[in-house]
Amino acid sequence: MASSTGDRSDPGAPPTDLVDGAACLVPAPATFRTVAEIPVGLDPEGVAVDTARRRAYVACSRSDCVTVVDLDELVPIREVKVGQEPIDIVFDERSDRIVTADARSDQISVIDAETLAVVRTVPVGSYPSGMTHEPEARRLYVGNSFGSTMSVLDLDSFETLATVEAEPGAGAIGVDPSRGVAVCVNFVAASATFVDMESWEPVETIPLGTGPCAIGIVPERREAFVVNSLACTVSRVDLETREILGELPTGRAPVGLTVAPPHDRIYVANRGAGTVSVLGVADGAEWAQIPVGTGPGGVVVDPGTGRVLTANAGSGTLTISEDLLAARPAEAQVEPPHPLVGRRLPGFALPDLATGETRTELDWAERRYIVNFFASW
Amino acid sequence: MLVNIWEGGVARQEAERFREIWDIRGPILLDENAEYAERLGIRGVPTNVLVDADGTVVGVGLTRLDELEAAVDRLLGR
Repeated sequence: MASSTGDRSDPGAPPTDLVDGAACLVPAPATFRTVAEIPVGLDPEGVAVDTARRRAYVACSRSDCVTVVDLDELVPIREVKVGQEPIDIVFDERSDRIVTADARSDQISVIDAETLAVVRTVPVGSYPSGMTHEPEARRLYVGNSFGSTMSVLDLDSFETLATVEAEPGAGAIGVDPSRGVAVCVNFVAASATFVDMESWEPVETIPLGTGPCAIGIVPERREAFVVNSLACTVSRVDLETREILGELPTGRAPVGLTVAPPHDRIYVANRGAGTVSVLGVADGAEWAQIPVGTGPGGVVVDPGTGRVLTANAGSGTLTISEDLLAARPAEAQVEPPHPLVGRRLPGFALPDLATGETRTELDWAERRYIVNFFASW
Repeated sequence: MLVNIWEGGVARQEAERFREIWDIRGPILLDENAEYAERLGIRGVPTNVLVDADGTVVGVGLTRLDELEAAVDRLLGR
């Protein structure tokens, strides 16, 4: 795929029958460059980077596999079958292993990165959907959504060291070793459970915005950033007082988050908008939105190049982007209205799930209504 | 009305499972290859499209509940 550059006035490919030529001609400095959009498996979610081998590992939840992507050639090179519905993934450089959280199998799969063979599976709690690891302390943390727990495993032996009570929807986990705290984000309960990393006891649970599902830690600011997917915000949380310091606006339905290596910005994948927001860590402002594929989720930064890797559950792709912003842009980014607004809804003829009959827009003629586009993931 | 798109597995099964979990009672239509969604320029989920009685689109996006409620109030003239 050819690369492209753009700014906020160029939010990806416009709908084919709604193009307004003149409306797109807004000169502005480029804020991003799309390097590639690479096909992977179905409904990709988590992404991990193997810097030495120049590879990305993408957990493809509906293909039950990991797609291995060559980050130099920008092509998929292998698929590795794992358990059912792998959602999150980590790569541990020291042991040279990839680990997936296989949600519908209630297990993790461990893959040898050299041979790309699954070397073992380990049962964890019910519906593991989030993970992180602490390489120095050799710990793996797994959030079990249906089990409402966080599993702590030894990263070498994969022995379960503790099972910590969290709350419904336990998933994403952030760790701050300098303060000895792990934070488990609970999607259904809309909360975060702070856990002492020595005793493995929950210390405190705080309320968050609705649908929290990803977390990033900036230890030198003693702050955590949590995306609230239904509230469409990012909560800034003090890691010591455990107070919410503010809510950062972002794009629609944010579900993924990562902290850029310089810790001056975070990247937030907006599942409802098909974009990645660039948010300033210090100012909390949205610097830009980078168009990616459809239904983006997992987002990471390739430490070798600084490029942003985004897994797009809708399009089944991995977008590789370059963030061209050196700092916050002088002008605030303004999202243009969707080109469909003010126009007649294009007609449709789609089968009804319940009856199998074809329904058209005429079935709703002369009525006011909402069309909700959704996916089960 | 709901329109299911971008299912990686068997769309009908996944949508049915979703309907059961969330106890959805309204009509669910299947746009299996997302052709209709792409025609509308839909780039993510969930996305709400508000349509007036004359068929004019009055809002797109509206993911946040407060945003959606306000838009519905406007649509209904409240």
